[in-house]
Amino acid sequence: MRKVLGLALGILTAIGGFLDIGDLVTNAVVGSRFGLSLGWVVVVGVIGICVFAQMAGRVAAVSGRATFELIRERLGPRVAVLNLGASFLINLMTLTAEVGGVALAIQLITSVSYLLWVPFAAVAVWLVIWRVRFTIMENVAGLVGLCLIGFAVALFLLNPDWSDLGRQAVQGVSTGTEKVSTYWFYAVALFGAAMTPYEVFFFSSGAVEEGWTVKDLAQSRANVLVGFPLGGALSLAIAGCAAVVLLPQLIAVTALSQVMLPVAEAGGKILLAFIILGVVAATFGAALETTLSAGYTIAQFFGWPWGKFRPPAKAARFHLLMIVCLILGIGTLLTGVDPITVTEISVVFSAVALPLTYLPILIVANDPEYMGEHVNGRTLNGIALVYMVIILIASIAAIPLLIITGAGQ
Amino acid sequence: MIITDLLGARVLGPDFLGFVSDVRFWLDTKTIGQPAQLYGIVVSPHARSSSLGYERSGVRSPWPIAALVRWRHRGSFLVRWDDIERLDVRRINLRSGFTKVSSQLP
Amino acid sequence: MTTGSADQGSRFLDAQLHLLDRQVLDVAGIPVAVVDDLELSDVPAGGELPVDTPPPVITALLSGPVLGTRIFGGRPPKSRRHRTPWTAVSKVGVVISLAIPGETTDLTWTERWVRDHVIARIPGGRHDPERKQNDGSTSKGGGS
Repeated sequence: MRKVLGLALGILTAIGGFLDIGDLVTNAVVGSRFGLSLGWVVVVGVIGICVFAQMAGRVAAVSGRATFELIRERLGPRVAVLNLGASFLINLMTLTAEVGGVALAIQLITSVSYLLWVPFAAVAVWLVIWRVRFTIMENVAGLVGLCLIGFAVALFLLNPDWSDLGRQAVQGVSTGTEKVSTYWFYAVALFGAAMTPYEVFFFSSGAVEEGWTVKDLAQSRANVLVGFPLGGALSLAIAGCAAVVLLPQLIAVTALSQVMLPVAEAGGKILLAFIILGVVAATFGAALETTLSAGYTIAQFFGWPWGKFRPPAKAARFHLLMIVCLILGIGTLLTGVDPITVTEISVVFSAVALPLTYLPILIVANDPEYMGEHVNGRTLNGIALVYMVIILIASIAAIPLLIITGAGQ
Repeated sequence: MIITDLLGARVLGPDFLGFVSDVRFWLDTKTIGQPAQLYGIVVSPHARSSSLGYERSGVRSPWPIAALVRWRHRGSFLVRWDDIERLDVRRINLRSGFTKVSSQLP
Repeated sequence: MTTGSADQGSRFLDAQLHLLDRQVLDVAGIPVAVVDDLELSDVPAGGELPVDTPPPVITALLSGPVLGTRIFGGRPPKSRRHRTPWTAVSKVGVVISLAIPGETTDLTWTERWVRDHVIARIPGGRHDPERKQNDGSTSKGGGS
């Protein structure tokens, strides 16, 4: 059991990265429109985030430096400010969406309008950040979020035509009634969602929060190799459920309740309740992750004391900043803007911030002054360089595709 | 004087030689609080700043990035303090007969 | 490799590579600021420097509004720079360590202000999440 708990950081990071409210809906949308033909993007994204999160975790464990600290140290303040601006905006948009997502999930249970739950959700997120120990937070949010395994269970219960699903996945670029540009828009969006920068900001800062050192390198690697593939697999399960139930009937996914339709069909009320619990925990966990990331990035850029391991009085600006972010989130949500649209757009913008985030990680992971003997090996460098090219292509293509396809219409 | 006065300044000697891409200091670390003296300036003919430092260290990986940075800073060299004749706003003149030293860090 | 090791008794430090944009920690290891700029001793400007003019030395680490001018250009006057005297520096490595507590420098003013006027007013602000009930002894000064 302790070994499983030791993987909680990786699992929570992956949940926030792959299974937050935006991903839940996007995966269902993709499944209902493209079947599993975009599945390969999830696989590519999972490998990418595994490679870079492993590096970021190793750098944090060996040198004690979290990722955003490195961005400023190695690339200078101008580049870091650009990245900070983009990342902070994305974090803000995403945390707004997640708080909205928690409220939406509670609305599913209680049938009371989500707007009423928004302040409660935000205060709950704040209380956990203010008071709860980092390890308890990650253990509870991570493990309860794993209830989302219910999607995989649902997929099996639906008794799909596996060869048909397999054919969709392998065929790759098959668009049916959709345009090619829309296909690639969702490919970039899924890739951006898999490799969102706040995942490495959170994971590397979490490594420092947990006090990982050189002795914990194996644990760091295990966190990455268990957490992210699990997140990716569940993403595929969500898309698969939508592909099996919604695609044949051409049901378009526009709300959280529609994401649940396949589950209700497969396993009835019990499985649905299980999943909703998972959704609440996963979106809550994602809200924690993005709020903390907002705090981490700003505090690390300016050199403020940061971290949940310090009493709030010793990381005053860090905590004040997060309180302000949550208040802004509540304000935005109460204007009635749809939280899910907000996050779908922010995912595309995070594709733009990818190169500026991952390049410093790669550079520092090779620098003996930081890493001593734990620098990257040649194979890892090779794979990472291939991904830097993919990341560059995705970040250049993101905004044009957003404009051309009108955000995937 | 603050260091951003020096970084990116044009270096002339008497022809245009490049920009100050970094400033090197010498520090005696045996006692706390020892002064760090300006040892020299790193002049790069083509680029105004260098924060990655591949052209000065022996680190070669990841190779495409190291190669790119070294190319961008090709021909860069170190000039010692004694060879500096004038320090003006954004402009540094070197004495005649100055020596170009390798900018490699030991 | 990149620098001479500290125990050789002397080393070269390049401003952009080793000093600028580095985290500064106080004597207790608490982050204080990031080095935004360096203050050097003055040299006679404008004219020709006599042959044996001593080189300028680093007199202080600078933080604060200096970051804006470093990114966008320009030069803030002396009064707007937050200085940490170079004599307070004990070690230069991946981070720069000081030999003095952060509370004694101007750099921590904003942090202390937010702490005293905002955070300390919210219940639980001084609670240490990592230790159970023996909070009083978590660090030298505890709160204010």
